[in-house]
Amino acid sequence: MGYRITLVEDDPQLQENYVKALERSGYDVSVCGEKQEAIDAFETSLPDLVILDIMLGDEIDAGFELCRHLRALSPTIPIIFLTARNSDIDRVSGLRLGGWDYLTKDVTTLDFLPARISAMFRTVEILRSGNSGEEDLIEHSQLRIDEARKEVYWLDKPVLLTLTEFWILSAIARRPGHLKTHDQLMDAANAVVTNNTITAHIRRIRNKFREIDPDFDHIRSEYGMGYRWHSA
Amino acid sequence: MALGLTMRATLRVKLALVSLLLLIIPLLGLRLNSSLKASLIASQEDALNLTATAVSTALSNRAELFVQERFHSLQPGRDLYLFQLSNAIKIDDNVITDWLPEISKAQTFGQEHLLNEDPDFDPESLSFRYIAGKQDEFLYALFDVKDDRLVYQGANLLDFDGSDHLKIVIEKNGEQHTYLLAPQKPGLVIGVLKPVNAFIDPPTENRIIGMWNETDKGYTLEVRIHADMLGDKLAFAVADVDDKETGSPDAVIGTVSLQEDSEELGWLLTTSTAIETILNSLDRPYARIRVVDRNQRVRAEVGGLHEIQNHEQAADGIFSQLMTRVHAIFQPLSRLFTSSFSTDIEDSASQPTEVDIQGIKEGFEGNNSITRYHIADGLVEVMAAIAPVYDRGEVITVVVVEQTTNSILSLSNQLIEETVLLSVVAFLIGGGALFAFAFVISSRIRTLRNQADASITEDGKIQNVITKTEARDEIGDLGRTLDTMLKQLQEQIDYRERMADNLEHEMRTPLAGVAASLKNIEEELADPQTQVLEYLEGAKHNTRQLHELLTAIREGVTLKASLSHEHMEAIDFGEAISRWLDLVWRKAFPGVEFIYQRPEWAAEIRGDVDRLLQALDKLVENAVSYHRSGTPIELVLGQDNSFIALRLINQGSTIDPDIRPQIFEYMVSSRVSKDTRPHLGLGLYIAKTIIEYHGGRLTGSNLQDGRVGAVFEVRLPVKNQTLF
Repeated sequence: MGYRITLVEDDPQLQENYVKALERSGYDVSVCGEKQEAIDAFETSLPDLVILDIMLGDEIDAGFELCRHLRALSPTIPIIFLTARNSDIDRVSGLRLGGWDYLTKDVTTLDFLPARISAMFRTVEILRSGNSGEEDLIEHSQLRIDEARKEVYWLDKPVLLTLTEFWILSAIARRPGHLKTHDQLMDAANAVVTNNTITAHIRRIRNKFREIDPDFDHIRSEYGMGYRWHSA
Repeated sequence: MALGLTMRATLRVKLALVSLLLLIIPLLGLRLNSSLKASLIASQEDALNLTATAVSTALSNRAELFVQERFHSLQPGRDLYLFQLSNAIKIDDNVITDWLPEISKAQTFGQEHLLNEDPDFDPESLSFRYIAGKQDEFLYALFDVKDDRLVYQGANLLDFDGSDHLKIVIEKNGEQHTYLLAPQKPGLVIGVLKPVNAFIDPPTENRIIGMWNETDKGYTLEVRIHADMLGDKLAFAVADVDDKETGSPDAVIGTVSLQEDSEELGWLLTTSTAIETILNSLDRPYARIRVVDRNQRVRAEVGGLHEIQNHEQAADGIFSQLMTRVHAIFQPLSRLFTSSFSTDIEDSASQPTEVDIQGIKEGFEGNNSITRYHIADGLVEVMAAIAPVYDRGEVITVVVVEQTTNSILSLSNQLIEETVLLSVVAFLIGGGALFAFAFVISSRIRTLRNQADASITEDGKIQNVITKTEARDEIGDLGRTLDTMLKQLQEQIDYRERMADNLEHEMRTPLAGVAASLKNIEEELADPQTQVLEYLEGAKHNTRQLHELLTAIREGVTLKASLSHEHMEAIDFGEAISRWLDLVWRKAFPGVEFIYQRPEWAAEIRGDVDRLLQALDKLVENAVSYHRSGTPIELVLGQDNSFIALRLINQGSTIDPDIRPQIFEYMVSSRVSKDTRPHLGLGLYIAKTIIEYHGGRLTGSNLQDGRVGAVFEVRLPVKNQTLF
């Protein structure tokens, strides 16, 4: 495939491990340890995908700045935030700045990182080819999900979701009224996560819908078993 | 406490009680007053004694003042003691009431004073009472004569012995003159000098007049004699004529036997002008000086017991008017402590002419003495100093110097009044000030206490509401100290939370590194040994555990902030628990028996299903952790008023009562867990936070039904009761 990935990460240990793992998956990985180095590298040539840590050295928002910089250089380059920062504010900021996904560093990162990266490249290819199949569209009530482009609209307004959230939402929304258990949702999210994590993702998804529509009430809990899309 | 009542004495009450100590002021005042009074009386006694001694010294050895007989031989019935008359005597009326004050002193003369020896004397035919006194420049005498038959003088007949008459014998400068009062009819009668020769017209004496009034039993005769006529001796005789024709009285009764011998005449005893002159020169204000003879007759008297009331100053100026008014207000109170006395002393003429007070006797024995007695119904206390007067080594008279203790009483009363007044004022002002002070202090302490109470909320949160004051005293310090303490505590709590947050954040990266390394090892080891794989698995397990810990910390830190817009929906709580039991907890804890008691009706609440599950998850996990294996975990759902109550009961370890109030706080773990899973003391904190977010309450206690264990109760508002 030969995709080029730039990993911006200041922790040498992590850098080395992630590079190894990504190279194992067949990517061409370059690394940067600090912001300026990354900017210089991007000036030279843009990679196909960038993984950004947010805190670099003493600069607490270096990743966000790099993201903004990258978006200025290319509107379509996939950007994944991979960070220790775990707050909702950071997640939202990351997506608003044009990040495609927001991942927290934890012990399972490497279990699902390659799968996500390949999913993103697929999306990139679809976007490049310009033809997104009808079958990749989910449309009911006020919801429209473009599976290929990883875009979600509610009341014709875009809902910014991380890749995980996107996968969870499309799993639930694909068949309205059908219960999706936690396990099913975990599979859909390509993640090994706890029930609480799924719950947290659902909460974030709901909150993002409610920002557009305060009365949004279509994702229903089923007493701890899972969730279903409730139409009307 | 003694009564079994717990009386809570607030600071305010205590300080008010302490202010009662001000009552010592009047007690001190009264004590001071009584000793002052005693010393004043002692000094008055001294002064009086000195005066008495001075007077007695001045009078000593002055023989000319004290004619022996006059002072030593007052024979009742012979010597005439002239009373100082208190009322003005009017001769020319028909009444004798003006004599009333002294009339009791009148002496009665009868048979034993008969001058003519008559064995046939009928006591009923003649007797009289008489009294004599002086006033101004006259001597007055009143004769109340019992006479069974009145005989008046004929018109032109100068036969005095032929009618009832009064004979007056006056000795002056050694000469004796006899005057007669012999009326022709009742009424005014003018005295005549008894002629030596019976045939000479008797010269009338205008200076002697009498008023003759008939009475039922005889007559009264008031006599007035001008002082000019009087000498040293005087005698009276009443002659009774029953038969005009006999020409001589049937009976004559005299104050002395009226022989022509002057020695037999009675001394005319009265106060001595000469002595009074001397006494006047020894003038002592507000004191009465009396010279008393052996018969306790007052022989000289100057001064009086009256005081000059000159301290009644007119109240001018607002202050003194105010003080007068205040005095008037407190008079009833003052009365309780003061001794009342009268200044209304009947003075001068009405004073007893006989002095019968203790100490006179001692005086004649040559001793000074001090005595006190009461007059005017005990309202006036008189202090008397008695000193003997010597003449040639013999006590001839005593001097009595008297003074009322009114001035002392008045002073004392004034002092008491002022003490009382000042005490009341001091009590009002001092007590008021103390009370106000107590009130302010207690209020400040109370405020501080309430603020300190409110500073830590029920769920253990600190909200610093201490108002810092600038007061530079201990309470101000206390407030500032409390404020500082609370701030430090808050900082510690903040630090604890921040530390957890920072720790979580800092550990996440290296942990992710370790996990990534393990992953790489696993991936890249070609044909790894079984043992190595086991090690790898162990390491991965541990990293996952660490990860869970970090996630839990993160959850605890961010829970409150993230609990802002949860998806609240109607939930059948009974059904939900039933499902969770089957789908979640029985799967999660396969070896544990769960008993679920669920009501028939639907226990509907409103809430966020995921959050409630999260909360109950923690509680179930907690109950399982601490249950004794073999015993079931019981979930009992019921309703209590407007609350749905779920009780989670586990047998086994109990909650340490000491730590019970804090078990729901952040990172507080009470019991020693027996399982190996990490315990950060976050579970109950998260459960409580979520349940309270739903408007409910979470409480924990130990089993009271005989079993050993703990029970946690979740109370959530019934659906239609909530405001969500």
